[in-house]
Amino acid sequence: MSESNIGEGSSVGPDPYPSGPPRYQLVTCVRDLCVGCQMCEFACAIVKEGTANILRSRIRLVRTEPVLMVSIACRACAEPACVDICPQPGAMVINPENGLVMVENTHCDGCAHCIDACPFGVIALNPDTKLAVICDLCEDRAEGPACVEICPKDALEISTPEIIAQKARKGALRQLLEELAGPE
Amino acid sequence: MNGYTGKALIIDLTERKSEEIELSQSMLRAYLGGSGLAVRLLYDHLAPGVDPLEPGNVIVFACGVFAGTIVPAAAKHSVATKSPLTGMLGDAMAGSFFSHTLKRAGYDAVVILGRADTPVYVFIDDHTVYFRDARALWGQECFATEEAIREELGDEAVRVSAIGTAGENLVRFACIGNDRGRQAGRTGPGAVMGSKNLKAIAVRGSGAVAVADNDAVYQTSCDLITQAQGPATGKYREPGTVGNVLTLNRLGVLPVRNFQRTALDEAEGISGETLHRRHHEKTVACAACPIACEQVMKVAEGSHAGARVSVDYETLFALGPCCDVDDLPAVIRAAELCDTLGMDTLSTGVTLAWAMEAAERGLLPPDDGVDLRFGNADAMVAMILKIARREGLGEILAEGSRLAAQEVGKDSDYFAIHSKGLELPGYDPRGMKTYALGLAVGTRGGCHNRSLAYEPDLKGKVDRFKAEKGRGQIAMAQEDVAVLLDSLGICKFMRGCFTDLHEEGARLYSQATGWDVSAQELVEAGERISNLKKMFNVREGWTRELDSLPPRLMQEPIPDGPGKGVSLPPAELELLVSDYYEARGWTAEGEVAPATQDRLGLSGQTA
Repeated sequence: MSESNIGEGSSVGPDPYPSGPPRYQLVTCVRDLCVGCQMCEFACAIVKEGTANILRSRIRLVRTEPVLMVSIACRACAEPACVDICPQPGAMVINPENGLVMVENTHCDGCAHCIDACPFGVIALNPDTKLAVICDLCEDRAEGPACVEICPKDALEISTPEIIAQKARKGALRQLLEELAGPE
Repeated sequence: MNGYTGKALIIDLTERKSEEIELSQSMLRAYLGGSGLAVRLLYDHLAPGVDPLEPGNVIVFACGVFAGTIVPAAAKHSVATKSPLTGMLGDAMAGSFFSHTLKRAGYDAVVILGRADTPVYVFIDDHTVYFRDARALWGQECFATEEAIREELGDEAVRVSAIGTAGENLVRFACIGNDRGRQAGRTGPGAVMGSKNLKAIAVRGSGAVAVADNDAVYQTSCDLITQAQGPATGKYREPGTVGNVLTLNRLGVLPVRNFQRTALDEAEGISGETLHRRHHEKTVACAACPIACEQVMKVAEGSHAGARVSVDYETLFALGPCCDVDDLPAVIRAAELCDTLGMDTLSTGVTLAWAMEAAERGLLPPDDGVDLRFGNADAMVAMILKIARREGLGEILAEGSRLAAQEVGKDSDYFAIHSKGLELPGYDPRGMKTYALGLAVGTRGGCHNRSLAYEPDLKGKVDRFKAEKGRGQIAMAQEDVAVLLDSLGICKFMRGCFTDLHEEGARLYSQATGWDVSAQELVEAGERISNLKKMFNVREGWTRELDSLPPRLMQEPIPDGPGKGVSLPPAELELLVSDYYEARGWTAEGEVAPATQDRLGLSGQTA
């Protein structure tokens, strides 16, 4: 007999993922809060690669306009284009536990097709090893992602698509209420 | 080397050649970096007595030791040159990504010599230097130049320091813009670049700046980031420095109508809070800065709709109350024009205020279509363009208030509000006597930022209306803290995050460099650099009467507000200045005494 507790709440212990399923967690950036300081890039490069070289960061700040800035890391796509296009069998695999794309260094040959394919530009090649690197949510770090921890403006958080959408809906409602209330 | 790259780049524009030189540990330790390193290199490479706008002038860009590392709010770079505005030390600083990138390209400093025969920009691509044709960029604004160069080089990560129309036209207070809104603002370095046919310096840096103790630097940085979200930086985060308008108005030291008054009857309408409420669009940070003080303002409607620029207190003061303009959208437009054309907002505003007063007194020739008078925001905006283009009256005003008053004559220098040719910032020195001293003796002229001497006055640590012995020591200590921060490249807005700047600064410096540096060594470095700046000025012909303030402020008592009746007669300033020279260990004439030079390792270095 196979039992599933999906949709029924847990009767066997606390739900380990109260904010949604374990898959598709990602680091997300609240654009209004981001000030473009690049601290996330430093934290990532130092913690993950042991260097202050921000080109080695797996989260990247985009700051192309005077008032437009946002940091972006792997979006944890359900059917990632990077995995689809990777010509090396076994080089890029989805971790069945959490949905993260993992690079198997023994199989990756640094061909950079994944970089071409990623619509968010969040894959980099390590200039020393020439192998692909992708955000792994600092899964080896008890404190969680270093970028989220260091962000001075609390613009970064771990979230899931469902939670991101929830917040957007709440924001839309708030805006609607403000508009109905009229100008100050 | 850790922290530093240990290298400087010497670029000769005349020959279109570049050369790398080594910077020794002893030199870096003695002058730290940033302002100290820039002044040291300038002193060593510049022949005395050169006209600032001739090819013989030298311009130095230097980074702080922490630039390129995670150390927060330490991204300031220094630009030193002989100033076309003051004829003395030109000593500007800017924030954001330029210094990080220059360090990552492999250089602590860049020294620029000579003059290109046609407009060029220099592209430092890690260790390779290219001299690129800038004829098509000549005439373009600062931001547009940055974007055009990034486009041309095809890399968003390239950082650019560029001049606009004002620098090309040798406006004596032209600035250098970088990172879409940061400026090496004061003392006219943009004009020196213009005189060298140097439109911009572009940098791509792909390396890393190593530190000696990664874990310690990381931990200290995290602690500072936490501190920087606390009360020590509160006012910089919101509403930003523009909050000073109401504070200074309350204290009666907000200069209004070219320093004719010290308070506004109605300050609310031009206050930082109102500006923020009506126009704030976005808060922005420099590289690795947890404070984020840059407040981008936008005008949504009206004749200035679309104007967008970051506004800080000095800009708001100079283009607002100092010109008696209370039209916030016009102030935003005027500030945007200054930034895009590439001129210092402070010198622009205070020079315009002088012109408004001169025009009202009938001392200025009429200018076609521009009716300069206090409160005329349209005239202010129109004249800014004319200054950058040196058209009409703009030709005279582009020289700055000191030279413009000389040209116009008729005692108009009485109300030219500058010290050593540099227009004063937005505090009335008569109601802040320690600050008055700091301004008068400042090596770059009238500047609050280099002296930091306003702090004891505004914090109530001294009687701000009183001139007395002892202020020399206080002003010196404040100035040496300022120069230390400027040389470490640490933003002054971080200073409240340190309990003991020298102790904690020395620890962080040691963690980054791996050298065992004491607090006392940093104190001495600050003193050494301040003295070298003075020696630079002495070598360029400084005389004691330059350590002074505008006649108006020494002859008229404060006309209104809480300080009403307080004056700053010349004898009082003289007392303060002499006290300062004594505290510094200088001669009675104000020159660096040989014994002081010996003690600081500066002897044998005068020309």
